[in-house]
Amino acid sequence: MKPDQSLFMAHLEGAPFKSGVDAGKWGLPGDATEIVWPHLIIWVAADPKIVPQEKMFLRFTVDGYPSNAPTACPWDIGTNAKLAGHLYPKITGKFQRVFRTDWNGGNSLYAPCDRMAMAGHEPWKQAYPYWWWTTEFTIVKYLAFVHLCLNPIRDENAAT
Amino acid sequence: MKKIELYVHTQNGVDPKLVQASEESTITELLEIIVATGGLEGKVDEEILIFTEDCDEPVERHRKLSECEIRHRHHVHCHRCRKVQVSVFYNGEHHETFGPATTVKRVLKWAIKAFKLSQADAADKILVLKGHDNEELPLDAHIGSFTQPHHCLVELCLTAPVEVQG
Repeated sequence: MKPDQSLFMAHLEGAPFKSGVDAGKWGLPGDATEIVWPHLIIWVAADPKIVPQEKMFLRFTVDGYPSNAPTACPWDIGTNAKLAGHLYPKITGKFQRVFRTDWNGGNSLYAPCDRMAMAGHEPWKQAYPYWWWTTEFTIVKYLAFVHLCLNPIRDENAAT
Repeated sequence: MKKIELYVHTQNGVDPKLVQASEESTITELLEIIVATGGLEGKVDEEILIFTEDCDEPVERHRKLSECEIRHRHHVHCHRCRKVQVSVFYNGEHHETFGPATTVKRVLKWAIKAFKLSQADAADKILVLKGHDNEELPLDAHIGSFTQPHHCLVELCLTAPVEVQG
């Protein structure tokens, strides 16, 4: 196993990833041993008003991890292909542009922690320092960002 | 004896650490395990308290985990502060004290109520550390993880997320 894969697998066994799994925030659809490096699918829990199935599947590419930021594509696990554009999450508010279909062919998230979106968006480093990928991050940082995007109502008693 | 894993939160960062213990371990023994595995620096002294998540009172040292209803993959918090003074700024300022193991989610709920926000205004509100507008506090983090050493207070701002654009 190469160092990038070895470290990634170790992070899947770490407390931050596991506590998210236990909390139902994200998880692997299959067994970690089934991962065909450098690709893997991880689901992220979503507000049913945004994703009726309540889970958004993302196909990650993580070669060079963590020196290289991950990149992720919304995925249809039924057809094992990129999610159809009309099924992309419709988000309003501050994160509405993250799931864009009109940028990069919808092949990656328009996010400060996604390697494809980071290229050419250097001002994001100052604008979103908390999310701009660095080598100290783990996959959990990316997943936490997506989870926030897909669950915009932080207090369940607030407006629906 | 049945082994269980616990998520241990401390003042040293937001991310918990996984620690293995016996469900028949006492709280003192759990603290020793946490120190031995690098979860806490120094020795186990009487100032260190253990709290279960969202409980304001520490658990008694002599009790067994099972007696405290601390089960597999539960979250606990080690802290030297019995209470954390939380100040939240929005269009004014409100204060409240919480146990260190209080989740950010519970503090946010309190803040929304304290500032009497309408449901619409509350919908997109988040908590950030004062002076760190871009760092949304994770809802499942513990408020005790944001205190500085030897201080039992946290200053937060209630705000809306910065839009991803550009």
